[in-house]
Amino acid sequence: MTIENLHKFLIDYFEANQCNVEADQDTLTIQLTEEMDERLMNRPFYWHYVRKLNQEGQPLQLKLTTNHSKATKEIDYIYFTTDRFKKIADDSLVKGRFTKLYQQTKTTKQTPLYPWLIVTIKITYLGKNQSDHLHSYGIHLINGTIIDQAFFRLQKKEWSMTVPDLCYPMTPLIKPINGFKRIDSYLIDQLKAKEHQWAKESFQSLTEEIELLDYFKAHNPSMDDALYQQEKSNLESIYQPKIKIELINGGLFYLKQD
Amino acid sequence: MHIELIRDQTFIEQLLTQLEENQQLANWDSFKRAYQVAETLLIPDSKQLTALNQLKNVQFLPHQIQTAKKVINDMNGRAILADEVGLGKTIEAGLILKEYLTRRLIKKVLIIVPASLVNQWASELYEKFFIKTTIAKKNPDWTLDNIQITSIDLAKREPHRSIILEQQYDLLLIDEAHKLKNKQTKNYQFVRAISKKYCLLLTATPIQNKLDDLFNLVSLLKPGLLGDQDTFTKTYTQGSKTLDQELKKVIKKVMIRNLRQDTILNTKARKVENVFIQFTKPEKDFYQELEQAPIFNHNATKILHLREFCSSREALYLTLNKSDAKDVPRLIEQLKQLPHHAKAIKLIELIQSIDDKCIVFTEYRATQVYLQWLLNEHGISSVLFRGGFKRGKKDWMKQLFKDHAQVMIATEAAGEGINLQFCHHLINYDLPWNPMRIEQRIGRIHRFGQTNDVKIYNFSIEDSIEDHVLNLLYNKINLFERVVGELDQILADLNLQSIDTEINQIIDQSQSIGEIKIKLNNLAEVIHEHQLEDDNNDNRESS
Repeated sequence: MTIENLHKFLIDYFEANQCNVEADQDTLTIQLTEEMDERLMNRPFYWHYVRKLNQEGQPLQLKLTTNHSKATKEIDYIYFTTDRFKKIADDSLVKGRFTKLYQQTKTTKQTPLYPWLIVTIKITYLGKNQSDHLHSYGIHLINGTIIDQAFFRLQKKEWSMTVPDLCYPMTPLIKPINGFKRIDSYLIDQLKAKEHQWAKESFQSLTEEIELLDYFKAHNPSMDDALYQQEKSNLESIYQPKIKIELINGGLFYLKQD
Repeated sequence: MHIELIRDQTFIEQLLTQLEENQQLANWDSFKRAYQVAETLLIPDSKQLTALNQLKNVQFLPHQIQTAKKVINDMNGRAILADEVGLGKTIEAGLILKEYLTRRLIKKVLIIVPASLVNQWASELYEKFFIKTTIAKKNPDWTLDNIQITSIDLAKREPHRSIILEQQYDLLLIDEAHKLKNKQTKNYQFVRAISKKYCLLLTATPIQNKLDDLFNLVSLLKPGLLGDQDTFTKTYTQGSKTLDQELKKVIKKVMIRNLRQDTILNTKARKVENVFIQFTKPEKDFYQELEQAPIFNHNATKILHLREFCSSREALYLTLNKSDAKDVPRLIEQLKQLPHHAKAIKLIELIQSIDDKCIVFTEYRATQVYLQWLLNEHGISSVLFRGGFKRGKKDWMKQLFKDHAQVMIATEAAGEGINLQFCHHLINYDLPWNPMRIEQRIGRIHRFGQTNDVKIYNFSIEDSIEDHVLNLLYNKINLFERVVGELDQILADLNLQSIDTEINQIIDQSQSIGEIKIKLNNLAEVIHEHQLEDDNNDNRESS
């Protein structure tokens, strides 16, 4: 589900945010709305004064290209590592963080929809090497079933923010907070059961580095305690194995029984 | 072993609140978009450079990518980057920086570079890597989590110094790090006290043969890697070959030195031509008179004046004029009678025959101004370039040279940090005696992006002090074809200091020009023999 076509992604993003977009195959002209100008253009003082003087602000027009050779002073090059994309990414993450959705379904009789808590979790293994993994967990808030890769199931269905006609959402038996705790302990159990070779290697390196440092300190009077401690904690910040668990987004999903 | 666990405790609370208030809830498209963004920004479990796929705007060279990977994967972000001049150390450093930024492993970065290069670093990092930096000026805020570029002179002054030492940097980068080799200096102690997680030291000067310097630089990165100073010095100053190999192995853990000959840049050759010029009769008479003048009690002063006269009347005049020795007014009178300098006339001829862009290097500002005037008299357009120019002026001069002028006349300090790949003729109007500086001159044009073979012309006045030294550097030790690093290796093997120190010592301790000549020859002989020996060894090893 990575972004294959950044150009298309941008069109969707700006249109979803009520901006008027003109596009050829790799370049966009976007008329920003006031809200998007504030989010992306980094000119808080302008908006501050416009409001203070009780005037109407002029949102900017933005020109972007995904083709580096077309970039000019007026047309910004945008790619996954540029600041502009970072802003758009951050904004997308904020706007897609929490949700409550109902499965779209056409039905002629009363249909129950079952509540699921779904969360997207990023796990980062961090030592002298680093890797990220994205997980999407779901828990059935009535019978407690936990599934991995929930997102792929969701993707196949259609969703709406309101309850479809003739459908009725079931009330969770498991409170969402408890559902979350169950997912959490499921995740921790899985992490505990793993080998973590990467962590062993990193820890080994840390030990070796500190041995070198100790030797140096013992033989070089110029290294005082403060410097030693500082250096040691910097080594730890590189090599000490860490696992970082980050929540990307999540929400309640009401699904029809399959 | 303990694995630290870092978790996000606030998410579920926030989610529950939002659900309850039924506010700011995303529709499916927004939810999906967030997932997609998160997945796109994942760091994969591989030793590849993530940033690379996203920097399609720059064509990196294989050795640059190799270097960045090695620093990140094998050296864990603490390294000395010691490529030869012109192989793109800045690009390697930028790539490493970008990769760490992409991996979100660094936020707070301090970049210490020579004052003259501050702007260039900033623009290069932005244009090639989209890295936004802040240049430290009058009231820099060191406490911000950002990427600051500063000169060491600013950083080490109070109140900056104390504030910087309170910060914890994720990455510290130092350009021209060889200036930090002496651990007694304030600069060294300051840099050592800066708290940093990752650290990159950039230098073009090969340091692997100056053992104390090496020890001190490595101790900034990995204290203890080379043991302690005493044992290290005792073990390695013996200079036996096997120990040397041993040391090289250890050094490789923290230092990467790419040589031009090992990269694909090797394809564009250097062609060196020595241009010998004869003084006219009056000039030659004056030279001899200067040589024999009893007025300079110090030999080094005399050599200085002789070198000046080999460059231009003006260069000599400026310093002579300051002297109050008895014979000086007479010499100055004679000097004023002399015609245009033979070398300058030769220069005009050469530039006319090249009929293409040339950069001319001279050691003297007086010569620089004289040459511009003379070129102008002959209808040849030129721009001046000095190290002391402000960055904006430097850029402007470079642009003028590129678009309008045929010739750039530069003094020494122009050596660092200006890139002139569009020009491929370099004239050493007079020569510095420090091979490193010659290498830096050549590095301005013989670098990545050069599409022609590079032609280097060395001017010297026949049978002058200049001639003797050029003869030593060029004929006897093949300086221009050899890599500077090799020469350093040889000097270290022979327990000699740098070439220019040796030359200056010879001059200082000799009674006459004849003696200087003989001693220079001896020095050349020793070096030459050692080279032959080395070459033979190499042959044996490879056969």
